[in-house]
Amino acid sequence: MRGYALLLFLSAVLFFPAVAAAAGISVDAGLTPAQDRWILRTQVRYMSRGDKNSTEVQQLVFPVVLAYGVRSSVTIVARQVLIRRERTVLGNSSTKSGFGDTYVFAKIKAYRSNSPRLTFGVAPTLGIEFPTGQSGFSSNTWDLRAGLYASARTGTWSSDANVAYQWNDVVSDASATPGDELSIDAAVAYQFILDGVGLVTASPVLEMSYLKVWPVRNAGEEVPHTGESVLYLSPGAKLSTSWIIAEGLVRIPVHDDLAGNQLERNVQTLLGVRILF
Amino acid sequence: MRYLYEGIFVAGLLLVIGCESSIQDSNQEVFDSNKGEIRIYEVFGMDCPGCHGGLENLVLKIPAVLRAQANWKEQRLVVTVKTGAILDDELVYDAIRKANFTAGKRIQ
Repeated sequence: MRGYALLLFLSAVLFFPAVAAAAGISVDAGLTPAQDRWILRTQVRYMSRGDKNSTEVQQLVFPVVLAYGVRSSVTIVARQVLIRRERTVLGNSSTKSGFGDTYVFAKIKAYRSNSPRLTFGVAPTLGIEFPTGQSGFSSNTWDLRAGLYASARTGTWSSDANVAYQWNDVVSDASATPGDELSIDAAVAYQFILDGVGLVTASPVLEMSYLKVWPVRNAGEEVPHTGESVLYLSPGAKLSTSWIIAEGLVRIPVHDDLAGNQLERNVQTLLGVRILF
Repeated sequence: MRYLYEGIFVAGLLLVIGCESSIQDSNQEVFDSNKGEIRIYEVFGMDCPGCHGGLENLVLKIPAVLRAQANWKEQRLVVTVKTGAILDDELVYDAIRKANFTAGKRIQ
């Protein structure tokens, strides 16, 4: 029984970095910000995985993201994550905190169209996740991530879509390598003007996120009880002013296809603030 | 859960400050409209309150500009020129391009 619980716990820990990477996308993902603009984004994310045998892993994740518009067509973004993890195995709990890996990427404006009725933009991204995290919170691998983002805005309606692929462990020659990750996200929001002139707005948001994680490979063989695909449906809300945006999201796993025995994902909550300088 | 409550509190506090600031910005525009030459430009591509700041920052870097106020709902940028200064429209259009927006016609 203890071995089974330990196996479930290990599988959950292996995949939490992937969960942290699959962020809510209620942002202008395909629209690069203005030149010389700084944007600071921080969130509190609560997530957990568990089973019916009182084995559970809970995480509070605090990502801090700093973006800067180097040019109107190029944005550099850096993200650092602080993680607080509590694990419960057969009634025994322990808590540990630490910094996760640093992720740096560039977003490049590929296409942008602004008309009186529609704004549309497409922006690819390319980035590297460095194994800078503390023991137990780092993937210990150099990971390459490429994405393609698209956004459309009509003033009242807005929608985003993105697809991203992460090649894990692109430089080491270790025999055990984490599986690659594919994420596909889509979001739609409607903007209500609260003050009559457009300086304060509120937006209900609905997001859909699909995440596929391939199994860990060891000496070319797939490691059992690793790899999964999950589909989240996420209702939320966003409140925007000229320099600050507050957002909240509840991520509901509507489909979770786990390979072998793994802890099941529970509902996640996400609260965030973006400060626009 | 304590962290969650603290996060909610901080987010709420920042939001209240943000709303206050936005309302002050709105009042400021009326106050300053009696100073200097006022120019109004059509700007397309702004779709939320957060879009304003990047454009306003860039326009304010133009030496001849005293104040810049953008509004996504009206798709307009209001520029107040410093008294006695000469403002080249092309500098404003360049700032609009750097903000990733598209300039329409100059209304005033």
